[in-house]
Amino acid sequence: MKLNKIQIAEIEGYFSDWNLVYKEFYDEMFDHYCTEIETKMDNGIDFHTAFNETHQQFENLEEKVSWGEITRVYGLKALESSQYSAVDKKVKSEYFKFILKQLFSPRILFWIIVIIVQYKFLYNQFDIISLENSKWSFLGGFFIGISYLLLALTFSNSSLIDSLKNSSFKFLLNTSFKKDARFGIRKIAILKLFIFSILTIILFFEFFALLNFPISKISLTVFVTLFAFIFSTTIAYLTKTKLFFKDINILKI
Amino acid sequence: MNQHLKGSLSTIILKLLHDNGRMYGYEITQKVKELTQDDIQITEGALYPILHKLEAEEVLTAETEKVDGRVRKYYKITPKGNAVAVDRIAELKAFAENLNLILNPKLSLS
Repeated sequence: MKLNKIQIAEIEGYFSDWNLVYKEFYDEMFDHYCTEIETKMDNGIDFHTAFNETHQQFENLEEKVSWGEITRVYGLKALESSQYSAVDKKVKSEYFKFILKQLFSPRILFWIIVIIVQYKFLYNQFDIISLENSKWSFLGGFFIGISYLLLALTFSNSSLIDSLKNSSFKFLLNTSFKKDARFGIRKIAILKLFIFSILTIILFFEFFALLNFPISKISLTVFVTLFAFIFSTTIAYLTKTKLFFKDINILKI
Repeated sequence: MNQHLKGSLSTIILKLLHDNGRMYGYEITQKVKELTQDDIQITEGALYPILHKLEAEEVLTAETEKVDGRVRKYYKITPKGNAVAVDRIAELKAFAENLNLILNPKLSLS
């Protein structure tokens, strides 16, 4: 027996209470609920009893998650978290493999040249960087950053902007993401990794700058290059995984 | 039944997908129920984490299709996962046979 509109709306209401974030997961569970309820109704059970029986099977689930602190989530949310952690693990290993591949490819020559050029020409007005000349290092860093961004954009796929629109960055623009649950698990995992790797490098650098710890010219050069390397590799990874995104049809709605 | 099922559930899922091509989550639970005449009931809390883990490991791949206005997610074994599936099914079969020898020693003598 097919569910009518009112019954479907009731199931949708129940799902929205769970605050699910991932569209892929939402769709799968929503279909599971509807199919199970329809099958039960075919066997002569009324809608509300069927709905109740179906959701009871999910009620006892529990999963530990870490959002800064360890908490527990239950029911559908627990199931969603367990799926997220499986994909998160996979994406992490794939991303690190991608970085390693870049490191051992001929492209590494490009980065070695970048280090040499920077060392030779960029910081020749001072030998060490400290707070005394941080004004200059900030300005220098800013322009280097902008040029790397342009470089990364130029060297990436021409459909990069499209890919960004469809990627995790959309998450930053969309405020009602929980309500419509339109985000792919893989995107969130990649976004998290990207922010984490960039922040690690910046914080590491800031840490030394704040302590007024003299940073030698060569280590600064390596730092900045490492930053650029991670940045452009991540952009390349995001562009590459665009196909990976497409096959789960997340954004076609 | 549940404690015996735990370790072999992923192999049972692989066997079903191996025999039936592609299936969706609810269909898998119903198929197991039907084959075992209601003796084994896979819970959703056990089924989906395994499906998602196998998908992340690329043993399974998923495709979606619109059915009755809803998005249905079908799972099937990848070419890479096929070898894994065949291996695990053979292992479980051998285990079940050995288990039978232990549980029914008289039968094994005849």
